[in-house]
Amino acid sequence: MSRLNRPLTLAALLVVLVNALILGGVALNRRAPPDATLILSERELAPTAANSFYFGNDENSGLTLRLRWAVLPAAVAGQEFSDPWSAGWGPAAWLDRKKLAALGFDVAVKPDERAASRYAERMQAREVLLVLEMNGDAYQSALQQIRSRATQAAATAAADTLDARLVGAAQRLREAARRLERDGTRLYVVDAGLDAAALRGRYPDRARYAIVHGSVQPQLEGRGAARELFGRVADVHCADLSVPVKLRVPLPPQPLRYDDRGHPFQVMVAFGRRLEPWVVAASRTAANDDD
Amino acid sequence: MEPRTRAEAQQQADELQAFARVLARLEHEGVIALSEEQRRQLGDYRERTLGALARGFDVDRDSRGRQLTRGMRVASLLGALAFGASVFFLFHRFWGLLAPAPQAAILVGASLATLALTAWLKAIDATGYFTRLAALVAFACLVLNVTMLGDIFDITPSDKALLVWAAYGLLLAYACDLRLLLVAGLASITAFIAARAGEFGGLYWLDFGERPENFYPAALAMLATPSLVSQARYGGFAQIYRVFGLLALFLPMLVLAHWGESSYLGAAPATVQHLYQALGFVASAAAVWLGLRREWPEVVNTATTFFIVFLYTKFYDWWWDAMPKYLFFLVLGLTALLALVVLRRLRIAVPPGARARPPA
Repeated sequence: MSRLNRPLTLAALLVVLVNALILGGVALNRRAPPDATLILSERELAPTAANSFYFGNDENSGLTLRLRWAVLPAAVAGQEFSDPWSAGWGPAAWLDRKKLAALGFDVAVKPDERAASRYAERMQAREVLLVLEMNGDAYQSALQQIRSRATQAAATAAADTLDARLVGAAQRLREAARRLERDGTRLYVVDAGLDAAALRGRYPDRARYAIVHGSVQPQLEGRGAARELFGRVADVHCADLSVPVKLRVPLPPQPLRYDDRGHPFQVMVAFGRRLEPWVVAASRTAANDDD
Repeated sequence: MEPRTRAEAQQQADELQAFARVLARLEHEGVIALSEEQRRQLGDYRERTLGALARGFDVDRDSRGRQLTRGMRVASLLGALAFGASVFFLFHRFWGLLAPAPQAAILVGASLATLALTAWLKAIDATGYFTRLAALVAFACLVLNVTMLGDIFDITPSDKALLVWAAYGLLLAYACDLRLLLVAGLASITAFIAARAGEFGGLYWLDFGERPENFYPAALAMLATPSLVSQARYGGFAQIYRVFGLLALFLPMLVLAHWGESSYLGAAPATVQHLYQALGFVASAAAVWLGLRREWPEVVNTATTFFIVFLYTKFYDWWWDAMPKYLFFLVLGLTALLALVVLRRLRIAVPPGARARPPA
């Protein structure tokens, strides 16, 4: 090997080595049996609507589906119940001070305004393991809460039918409950930890619970003396699932839209030994005609 | 002395041309008179040397050649960018029609094929333009290779990809004497070191930008590299290391001077800001001094720019609201004049002995 060609030879070795490591990692992840296998539907898998380039068009023939996940919102004093559809961005009910401490966060925050503000500025997201629950207690609890609030609002509005604000609020909650029941994702992030084996010990049902990599971030909720420390799920990694060409036939024609419910489908997603997901099977299901 | 790089060869060619011009002027002014024989010998020597330099390193023999070279460089860069974009879109256009195994095979194959093309062109292309173009496309192919395998197989994002791109970019940069790939390699290694520093501080690696101090280890490494490992064989590499090192040092300082909340230091944000404002002035002034002493013009220019930016942002904080705008800008102008005077004095004050250091 001449001195002149040494960097290029090393570059070739680097290409081979890197690809061997990546593909070896994929093989290791996908070695049977998988860590978990979930059956998801169009309610839990959405097109990456924000970026049409990455979701099927003339310039991109690939198909990528994004996991839609939610968290059961924390009941923060002085705040209304949050809609779980968007709760992925808000504080999670289970991600309290104790849990944050167990995840290694500094939870010693003084109650005064200045210290709290400084704490909020300094706290950054940290990588953890998250537990995804499919159609379990978290979803049922979210459904129950919103139904109960809708019923309550309807009763309040019925007592004073002249108050348009109350009637409107009752209508909005009824619609939110209906959306959650029919279209809302049933995939909830229900726990976090640092040890995959310990989490699997707590959630042994591999057809309902998957463990994935993600990140959480502490945040202060409420004001003054009612201020509480919660965490939010900042991100679920590997949330974009590439669909292999042979599994795309049962899936709806492109492009899908976020609210496209005319083509219901089911996708079996496996989570491997490195907790990375992949699409195993896909099938078309009967359309829901309750609209 | 035999030149080792194209830059050295071009410098020798330029010196020969300049010598011929000075000689002609001296003869014209009657300072010196050469015999016909001497003039012929000098002319032969110049033509012979320039011919050898042109054959070996494709140097420019005159200003027209230099202009054409610039044009070729621009064309080579634009061509590389266009080819890189073409590879990216070509793969996306057809990847959905292929099973994962062929997808992976094409990605790996494209990386190896473009690298082989680079090696082949390097052996036959004396000008280096086609080799550089191929090297840039090879780098784009490896970036696409790693990112697309991550997408296809839903792999957890990792900062190790940055290390791979950095290593590949640097290997190609040194193999093909390509400054643009050195920049790409340094940007990747800076991001990798900052990500690791962030992880050490408890951050998720993708959030490394949230704490600007994460860039300091990379800045120090880049500044030290040309002094520890000679870059003399590679034209402009040492300058790029120093400029990038200074950017990685001063940009975070500038951010921290105005956004103390993002610091690792536990002090109050205002204290952190004052500290970094002072550090910014001291560090940029010290860098100007060092640049003048070591004859590193790129260091002097970068550090002077940052010194003025630090100064102007301070002026803005102090006087923008308090002064009429004409007075504010007058003060800025006077400050620039003062900087010119100080730099001129510094230039005169630097002892000539300090300027005679060998280039790194």
